[in-house]
Amino acid sequence: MPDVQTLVNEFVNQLKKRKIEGSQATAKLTAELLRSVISQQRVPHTNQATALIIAVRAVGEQLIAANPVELAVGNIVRRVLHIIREEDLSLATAAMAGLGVSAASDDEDDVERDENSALSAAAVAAAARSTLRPPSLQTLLEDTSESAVAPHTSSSGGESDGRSRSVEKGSRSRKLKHDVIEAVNELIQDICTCYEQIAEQAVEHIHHNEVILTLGSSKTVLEFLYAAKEKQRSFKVFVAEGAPRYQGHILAKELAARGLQTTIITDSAVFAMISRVNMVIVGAHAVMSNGGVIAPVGLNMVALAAQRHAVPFVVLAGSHKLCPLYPHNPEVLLNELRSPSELLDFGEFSDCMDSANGTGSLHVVNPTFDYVPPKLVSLFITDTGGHNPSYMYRLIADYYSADDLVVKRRPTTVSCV
Amino acid sequence: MDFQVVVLGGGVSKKLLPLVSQELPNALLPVANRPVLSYVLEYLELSNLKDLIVVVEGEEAAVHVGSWISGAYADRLHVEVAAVPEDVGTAGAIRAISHHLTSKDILVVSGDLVTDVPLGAVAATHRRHDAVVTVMLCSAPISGPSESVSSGGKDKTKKPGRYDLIGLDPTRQFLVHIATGAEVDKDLRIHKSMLHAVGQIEIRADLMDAHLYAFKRSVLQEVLDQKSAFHSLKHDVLPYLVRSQLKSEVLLNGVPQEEENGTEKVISQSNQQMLSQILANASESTFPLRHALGPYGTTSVRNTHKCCVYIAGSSKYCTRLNSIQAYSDINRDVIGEASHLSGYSFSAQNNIIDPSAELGAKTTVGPHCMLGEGSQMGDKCSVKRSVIGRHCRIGANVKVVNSVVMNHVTIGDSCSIQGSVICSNVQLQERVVLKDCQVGAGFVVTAGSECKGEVLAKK
Amino acid sequence: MGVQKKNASRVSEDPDELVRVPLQAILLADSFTTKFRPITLERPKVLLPLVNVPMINYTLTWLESAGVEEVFVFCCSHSKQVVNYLEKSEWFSQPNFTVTTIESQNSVSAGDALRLIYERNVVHGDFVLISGDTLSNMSLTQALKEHKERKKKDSNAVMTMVIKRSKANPAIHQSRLGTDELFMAIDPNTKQLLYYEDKADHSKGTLHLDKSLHVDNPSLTLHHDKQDCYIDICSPEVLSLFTDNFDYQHLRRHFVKGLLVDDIMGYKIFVHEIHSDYAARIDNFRSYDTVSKDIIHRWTYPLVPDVMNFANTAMKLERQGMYRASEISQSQSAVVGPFTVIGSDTKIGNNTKITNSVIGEGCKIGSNVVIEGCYIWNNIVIEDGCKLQHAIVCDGVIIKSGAVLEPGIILSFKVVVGPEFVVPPYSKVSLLQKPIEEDSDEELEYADSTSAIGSQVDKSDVEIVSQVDNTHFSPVSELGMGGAGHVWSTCEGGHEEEWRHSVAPIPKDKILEAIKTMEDDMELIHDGSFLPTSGELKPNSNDSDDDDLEDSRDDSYYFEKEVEATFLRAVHENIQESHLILEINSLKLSYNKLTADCAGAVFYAMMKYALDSPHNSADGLLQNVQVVFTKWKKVLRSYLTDIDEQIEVILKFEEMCSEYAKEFAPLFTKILHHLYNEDVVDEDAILSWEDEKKDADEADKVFVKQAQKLIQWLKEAPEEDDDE
Repeated sequence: MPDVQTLVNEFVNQLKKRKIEGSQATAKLTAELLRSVISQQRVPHTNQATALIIAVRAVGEQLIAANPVELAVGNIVRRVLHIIREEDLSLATAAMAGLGVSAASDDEDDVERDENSALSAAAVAAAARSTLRPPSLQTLLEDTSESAVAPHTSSSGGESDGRSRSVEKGSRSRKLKHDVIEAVNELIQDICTCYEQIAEQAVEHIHHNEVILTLGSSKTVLEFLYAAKEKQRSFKVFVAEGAPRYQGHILAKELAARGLQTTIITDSAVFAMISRVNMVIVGAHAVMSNGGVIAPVGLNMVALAAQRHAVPFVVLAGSHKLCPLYPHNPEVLLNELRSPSELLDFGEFSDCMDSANGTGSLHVVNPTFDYVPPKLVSLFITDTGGHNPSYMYRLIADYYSADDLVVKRRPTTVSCV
Repeated sequence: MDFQVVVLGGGVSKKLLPLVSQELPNALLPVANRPVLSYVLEYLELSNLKDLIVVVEGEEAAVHVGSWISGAYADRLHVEVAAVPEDVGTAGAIRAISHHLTSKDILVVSGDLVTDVPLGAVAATHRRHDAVVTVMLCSAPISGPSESVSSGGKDKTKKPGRYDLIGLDPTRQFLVHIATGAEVDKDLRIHKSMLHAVGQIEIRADLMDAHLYAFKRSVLQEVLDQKSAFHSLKHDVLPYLVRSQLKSEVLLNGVPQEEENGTEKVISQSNQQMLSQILANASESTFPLRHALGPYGTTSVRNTHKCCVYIAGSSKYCTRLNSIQAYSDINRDVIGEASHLSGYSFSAQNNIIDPSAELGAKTTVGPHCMLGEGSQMGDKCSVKRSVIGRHCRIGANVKVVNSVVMNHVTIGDSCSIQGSVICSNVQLQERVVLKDCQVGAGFVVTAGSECKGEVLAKK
Repeated sequence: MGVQKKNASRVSEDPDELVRVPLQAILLADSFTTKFRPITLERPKVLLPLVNVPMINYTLTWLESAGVEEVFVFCCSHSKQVVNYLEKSEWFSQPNFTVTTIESQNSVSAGDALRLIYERNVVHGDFVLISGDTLSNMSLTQALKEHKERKKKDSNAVMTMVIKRSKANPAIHQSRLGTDELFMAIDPNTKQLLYYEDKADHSKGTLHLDKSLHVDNPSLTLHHDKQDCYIDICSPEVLSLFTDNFDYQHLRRHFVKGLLVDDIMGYKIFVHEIHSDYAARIDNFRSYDTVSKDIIHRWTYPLVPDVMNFANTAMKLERQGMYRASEISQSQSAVVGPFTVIGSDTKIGNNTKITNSVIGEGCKIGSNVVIEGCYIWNNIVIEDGCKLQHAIVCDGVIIKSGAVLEPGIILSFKVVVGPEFVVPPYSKVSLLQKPIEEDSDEELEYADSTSAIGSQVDKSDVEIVSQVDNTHFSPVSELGMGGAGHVWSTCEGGHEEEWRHSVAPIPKDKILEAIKTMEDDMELIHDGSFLPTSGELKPNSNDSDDDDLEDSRDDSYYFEKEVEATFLRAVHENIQESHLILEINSLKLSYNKLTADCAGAVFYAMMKYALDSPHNSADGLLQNVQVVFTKWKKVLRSYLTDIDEQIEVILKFEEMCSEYAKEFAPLFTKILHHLYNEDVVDEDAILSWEDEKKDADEADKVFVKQAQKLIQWLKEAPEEDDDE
C-alpha cells in the first residue's frame, strides 16, 4: 500500500515542521489518516484484529515521534487502537452467541481466545492499576465464560464443514474492518462536533451580567461564549492577549464581530482584573489523566489568580484532548520552546546577541505551554458534560484501553544532572 | 522664550533687479502692498518675539528699512536696525553684530521669508535636543524651483533651479548631511563614519532649507570667530556644523569656561538619555548618543553636538522671496490660496478693493485680486489674479493678468499686461503689451511697444 | 480516491503552499571561497556539520517547507561526496519535492555555475537562488508575491534580494556574522536597490553615490544596518544575463553591481526585508559560530535539533538549552553547562567541564577535560586533561592527553595533537600541505584549485593515510610527539583577517585598535572638512570651487595613492604605457578627476618612484629622475594637453619639494630644466607659473627664485630662436 505510506510520510513531515496548528485539526487529520490506513490494510483470515492493531501501532509510532509535543496525535492513535479492540471483542462475543458450540473450537478461535485472554490479562492489570471499568469488566466476564465453555466444546466439536466456516470468516473479516471504520468515522464525527456539544452546555454555566475572563484564543471557548450569547445571555468578556503570540487579539476581534462585549487586557493585568471576574473559561492543549492541564503559556498564572480570588476556573476540552498519560510520564514532553523572534525583533538586538565580542549574554526563552495542576481547576467541560478534575482519570479510562498506553517503548535517555 | 532674533534683511539683491534699488531694498519689496519684511516681523510678533535685530546690507538701504520700521512698528516691536557692508554674506552679517547677541539661543531668520509654520515648534525642537543648530525645512515648492541662495541673496554664484540635498537620521529629527547649491548637482558623498553612527540615512531631495535657523549662541559666535573665511551661514557654517557633529572641536577648544560646563552637562544628561533609550529600543537612540556610547561603552564619551531639523508640514505655506519668479508667485499666493497671510479681510468676490479706489464702468476685478487705495481704473478694464498698488492711474480697457503693479503707476488706455511686474512710478503709454516683463522703477514705456520676457529699466 | 481529495485540500490549507506554479530553486553546493580551508580541502562546505547536521540539510529543509518543489543542487568541488550524501539521505524520496544534482568540475564561480545551468535549460519560471550554506526559516510567500507583482508591472525587475536588519559592530564595522560592512541605498517607496557596496570597493572614508540616483528619486535611504541574507528570488532573465556577460563571476560583486551601474538595459533589483524571520549565511568561521549559537538559542525554529531530527537519533531539549541525544554515557562528576549539544554514543569522563559547545556523535572525552565554546564533530578522541577553547575539531581528530588548544584553532580531519602540546591561537592544522597558489582575493578563489586538491583527496585517501603514516613514523611532528598534521602558516595581513573570521571571540585589544583606527579616519574626514575654509580664503571663490576643493580633498589623497600604486605596478611588471594610461584614466573616471589632477598624481608617482629607488647622492637622485622620465614621460605627457596641467605639475613639484620630498629642493631647477628638455612642460607654462607666483608671499617664492636663472634663460630663448 504505497499510497498510504506516502500519506503517512507527508503527514509526518507536516507534523515535524509544525505546520499543523491546533490539537483539533491534528486529531482530525490523524483520525482520517488512520482510517485510510485501516481501510488499506489487507487483513489475513486469522485474527485480523492483531493485524490491524500492529498496522495502526506502526503508523502511530511514526506520528507520535514526529511531534511528541502534540499529544492529540497519541490520543487519537490510542483511541483507534481501543476502538479496534472493542469492535473485535463485540464481534467475538457475537460470534460466540451466533455460532454456538459447533464452530467454537477451530484453531482460529483458539488464537482469538488467547488473544482475548492476553488482552483480558492486560485489562486486569489496567483495572488493578486504575479502577474497574465497564468494558474491561465485561470482557473479563466474557473471557471467563468462554474459557469455561471452551474445553468441553472442543472435545465434541471435531468435525464441522470448512466451507460454512470460510464463508462466515470472510463475512466476519469484512465485518470487523467495516465496523472499525464505522467507529473511526464516528470518532472523527465527535472530533468535528465536539464544539457544538461543549457549547450546548454554555447556558448552564454562564449567567446574566457575568464577567468572563479568558486567555489566548481557543475555538472551543469562542463557540462556547457565542452559544451563551445566542441564548440571550448578556455578559462581558475580558480577553487576556496571550503574549507572545497575541492570539487573544484574534479571539477578541472574533467575539466583537459576533457582538459580544469584549475587553482586551494585557496578561500582566490579569491579577488586577480577576477580582471583577465571575468565571475564568479557557481552552486547553491537553488534559492529563490526573486532571492536570497543559495549556497555552500564562494560564498557570491566571489559574493561581483565580484561586486567590476564589473565581471558578473552567477548562473546556474536547474528548480528543484527554490524554491517558500522567504528566510525570517520561513519554510526555510537556513543553516546546519556540523561536525567540516572537518576543523581540532579531535585528534590534543583534548587537546584544553578538557572541563575537563577550556581549553575547542575552538569552530568550519562549515556552509554548504551561502546566496547570489539577487542584487549580474547578471544572472540566468536555463533550460528555462537566466533570471534576479528580474524575478525569475515570473518564479517560473509558476512552482508552490500558495496554495501549505505551504505543512505542522508546529508549529512556540517560540523564544525570 | 528667550530667543534673540536676527532678521537678515539683506540688501539690494542682484537677482531681484530691476525690482529692487537702493531706495527699495529687498526687505521693502511690496507683497500685496506690504513690504515683505512686514510678513516676517508679524510672523515673529505672532509667536511673541518682540526683540529683534534687523541686519541690512548697505547704509542707505538700512536707512530706508529703519525709517519704515520705525514708522510701522514703533509701538509694537522693539527693533534695532544694524547696517553691515555689502557682500559680507550672512555669516559676515552675524559676525558684525555678534556683540549684540547675548541670549542663550539665537534665531536667525531671513527677511524675505513668507511662512506660517509655527515658530514655537522649531524653538521647541531646538530646546528639546539642546541642539547646536536647528534648521527649518519645508517641502520644496513645485512651482518654479526655488533657488538655494543664502538669505540676503548676496551669493551671486548660485545657479538657480537647485534644491538642497538633506540627509536625515531614521527618526527624522537630526540633520546628518546637507548638500547645498552647486554640490547638489554633483555626486553625493556621505562620510561612512556618519553612517556608522546613524545606521541609516534618509536622503531627501524634495526638502528645502527655509533659512530659519536656531543657533546656540556660544557655538555660533565661536565658529564665526575661528573660521574667519566663512561667508554664508547656509553654505559654510551649517555644513561645517553638520559635518563636525560626531567630533566637534568647536565645542572643545577656545570655548569660554562656563560653556564647557554647559557642554559637559549636555553630555552627562545625554548619557542618561542614551541608556534609557537603548533600554527602550536601540533604534530610538539618536545617533550622537549611540556614537557617544561607542563600542560597548569602552570609548570615552565623545564630545558630540546635534544638528536638528524641523520639517514643516506640506500644508503649511513657506516660500522665500529670492527671485522674480518667486516674487510673482508669492504675490499670487498671498492674495490667493495663502490669503490668511496677507492680513486683509477679503470681500465677497474674494478680492480686496480699497474703498478709496475708483473703478470705471464695466470694469471687472476678478477674484484673488487686490486694488490699492486711491487707484483709479478706466472703463472696461479687467484684472485677474493681480495686485495693483496705491494711487495707480489706469486707463480704459486695460487687461492686467497675473501681474504685480506697484504704486503710482500710470497705465495708458488699452494696455495689456500679463505675468509682469511693474515697479513704482512707471509710466506705460497707450497700447503697450507686456508679457512676462519686469519694468524698473520710473521707467517709461513708449506707446504701442510690445515686449515679451524683457527687463525694462533705467540705465 | 477520497484520500487524495482530502490530501489536496489539506495541502491547500498550508500557508506556504499558496504559490501554485511549480517553484524551482538553485542551490549552489559550493561557495567558491576558501574561507573554510583547510577543512574544505577534504570535505565540501555544505556537508560540514552544523550542530551535528550537515548544512545542506538546513537549506533543503527550508526550501521544502517554503514550498519549493524542484531543487537543482549544483555541486562543484567534491561533487562526488555531495551526490553520494544526497543519495543516502531521504531527500530523493520526498513527496512533491524533487532534488536534482548537477555536477561540474570546471566551474570556478557562481557565474559559471549559473551559466552551466542556463545551458542545461532546466529552469523555466522564477527561481530561488541560494547557496548551500544558508540557513533560514522565513516564509517565501510574501517575497514571492511582491516579486511577481513587480514583475507584472515592470519586466525589468529581475531579482529580489532578501535583507535583514542587523547592526554592525560599531568598532570593527562587521556584522555578528563576520561579514564586512555593507552599504546599501534603497528607495524607501519602491524598495528598489540603488546602490550596493561591500568591502570590495576601494572608496574609503566616504560613500560615493552617483548624482543620477538622487536626481531621479527624490528620497532614498542609505543603510548600514542591514545584512544581506544571500537569498535571492530571480527571474529566468538572470541566468541569461549571466550568459550574456560571461565575465560575471561573483553574484554580488559582479552581477548585482553590474546591474546597478549599467542603465542601458535598465534591469532593476529590489529588496525584501524580513523582520521576525531568521536568515543567515555561513560565510566564515565566525558566522559558523554565531549561527550555531542562534540554532541552539532556537532563533531558527523549527530548524532546531530537537524538532528536525536528521541525526538518526532524536535530540531532547533539557532545561537551559541543553540538547542531548540518547545513549550518552556521562560520568556523574562531569559538568555539562548550558547551551550545549551532545550527540549520541558520546562518552564524557570524570570532572570534565563542557560549556557552550557542540559535541558530535561517538566522541570519547576523557576526564578533567575543559571544553569551552568548541565545535567537536564526530568520532573524536580527547584524552584526559585537555583544554579546548573556541576551536573547531573535525572528524577523527585525536587530541592526546594534556594538549591545549588556544582560541580560534581549526583542526581538520584526522589530525593528531601530541600530548602536552599547545597549539598556538588561530592556527589551522590539516594533514594536507597548504596549497601553494596564494589567491589574495578569497571571494573569487577558483574552485578548480579546491576541486583539484579535493579530487586528489577523493581518489586517493590512501595518500592521506600514507601521509598520516609517515607523520606517525616521524616521532616529533609539528604537533608534538606522535602528532600528525601541518600547521598552516598564515600569510601576511592574513593575520588581521584571522581574528575577524575565527570562531574565537574578538580579543578586546583588537577592538580597541579598531576603535583607534575608526577615530583616526574620522580625523581624516574632518581634516577634509576643514579644507574648504582655506579654499574660501581666496577672494572671488564661488562655492562650486569650494565644493570641488572640499570633495577632492576628501579623496584626492586616495586618488594619488591609487595612481602611485598603479604606476609602481606598471614599473615592476613593466606594463607598457598605453595600458598604464588606460588604467589611470579609469581611476580618473572613478574618482571623477580632472586631467590636471591626473597629471599631478602621475608626476607625483614618478618622482616618488625616483626618490624611493636607491641613490646615494643628489646627482644619483637626479639620475633616477632622468631615467624615470625618459622611460615614462609618454604617460605623463598624455595628461599634459594644455598649459594648465603643466602648471599643475610644476605646482605639484614645488609642493613636493617644499613639503614631503625635501630631497628635491636643491635639485628643483635642474629637474625643472630637465622637464623642460623632455617637453614635459613648455616655457609658457613655466613663465605663467612664475608670474602667478609674483604676488605670492616670500615663503612661496623660494623656488621661483631658484628657478630664476632658468626663467631668465627661457625669457631670452625665444629671441634666439628668432635669430636662427
